[in-house]
Amino acid sequence: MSSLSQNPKKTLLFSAMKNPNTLKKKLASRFLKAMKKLKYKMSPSPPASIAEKKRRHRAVRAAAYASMASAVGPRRAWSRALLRKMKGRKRARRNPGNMNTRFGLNHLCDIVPGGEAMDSCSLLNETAHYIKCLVAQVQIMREILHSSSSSSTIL
Amino acid sequence: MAAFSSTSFQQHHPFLLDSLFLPNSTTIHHQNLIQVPNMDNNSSSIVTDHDKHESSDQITQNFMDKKRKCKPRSSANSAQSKDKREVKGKKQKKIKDDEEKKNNSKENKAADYIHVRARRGQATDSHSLAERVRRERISERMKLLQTLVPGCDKVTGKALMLDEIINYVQSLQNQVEFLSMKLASVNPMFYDFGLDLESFMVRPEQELSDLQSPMPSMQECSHTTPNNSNFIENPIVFQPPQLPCVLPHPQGSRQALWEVDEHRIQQQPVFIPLI
Repeated sequence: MSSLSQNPKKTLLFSAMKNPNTLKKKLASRFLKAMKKLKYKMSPSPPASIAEKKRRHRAVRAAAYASMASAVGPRRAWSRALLRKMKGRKRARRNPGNMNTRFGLNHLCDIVPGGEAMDSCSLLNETAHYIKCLVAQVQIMREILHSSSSSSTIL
Repeated sequence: MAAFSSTSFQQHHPFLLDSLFLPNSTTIHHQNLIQVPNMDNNSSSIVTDHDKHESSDQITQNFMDKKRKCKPRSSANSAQSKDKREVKGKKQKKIKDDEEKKNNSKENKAADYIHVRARRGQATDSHSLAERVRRERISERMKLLQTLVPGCDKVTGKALMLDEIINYVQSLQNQVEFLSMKLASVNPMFYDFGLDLESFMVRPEQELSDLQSPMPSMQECSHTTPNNSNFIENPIVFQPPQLPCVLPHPQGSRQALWEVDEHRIQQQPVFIPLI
């Protein structure tokens, strides 16, 4: 730890690394709450038709992204953009431009939510944070799936 | 002729390389630059005299003459531009000198020809200074991203690194997509299965405060501890691909994850002192 304090950049990094722990906890609780809500909305039977499956899939995905964004809160640009997009999803939907012609940072702009209105420096910053959150989210979802599959086999 | 050119450029070089006394050297440098055209004019006149005498080498001499004429022009141009700058703002020059002093302290450690050249071009302009700062920041961020994205530190070059980052983000998004599909296919009866998971997510949290013990017990129930250690170690150690499979094998994947985490935690005491 003493060696950490010598390098200010590394200590900054280290303090930034402390967050994901709480962030992951927040993320998990939010996601589970969202899933619980979904449970009450849906019929208790397993999805029958393809359309129903698709609808559920979309709902779960929306829950995943929304829980991610709300766990991070409004201090990050990507989470703000994500929440804004979710709110305005029903009203208007912009069709994306020609994706094939975009490379590098431009392509990153398309991928990271809210990346269109950022300069390259903050875009990279947001991307780093977004990656962290995505990794955490994937881990959580995996754990949930695993536990659910194990519990279903027990039952 | 050759002698003239060599002397003039030898006079150039020391001042380019010499970054110890820059405030002085810049003034001397201007004088030097101003002197250069005169000397070159003399040389060209001598050359023309030579031309009259030696008609056999005329073509080659002419060729050389053209070369010589090109050089004085460029140097004269640079000298004029320097003069213009000096006339433009002596206030700016003061600021410039201060900046150059600051730069000097950095560059004394690693006096580079390229560095000095770049500074000659850039240091006067606030825009270029800002640009340089911006570039530094971007490269910093890229380094941070490099630590986050597995397999990114093998790649050299920003474009390739960006490609790697984009691929990684897209793969993560695809994984979220896939996992949500999986979760959607699960019977909604089990949607609140994880609430017990939430309850024991609190426990490892308390354990985390004294996580200094290098080898926490790897129980099935402790969900956050190993991942947290992941996050701490991410900037330090090269990260082996952490989420290797898009299709999670319901039995095997978690075991694999634990194994990876254990492996990493065993490495931890080795790597932390290196920071």
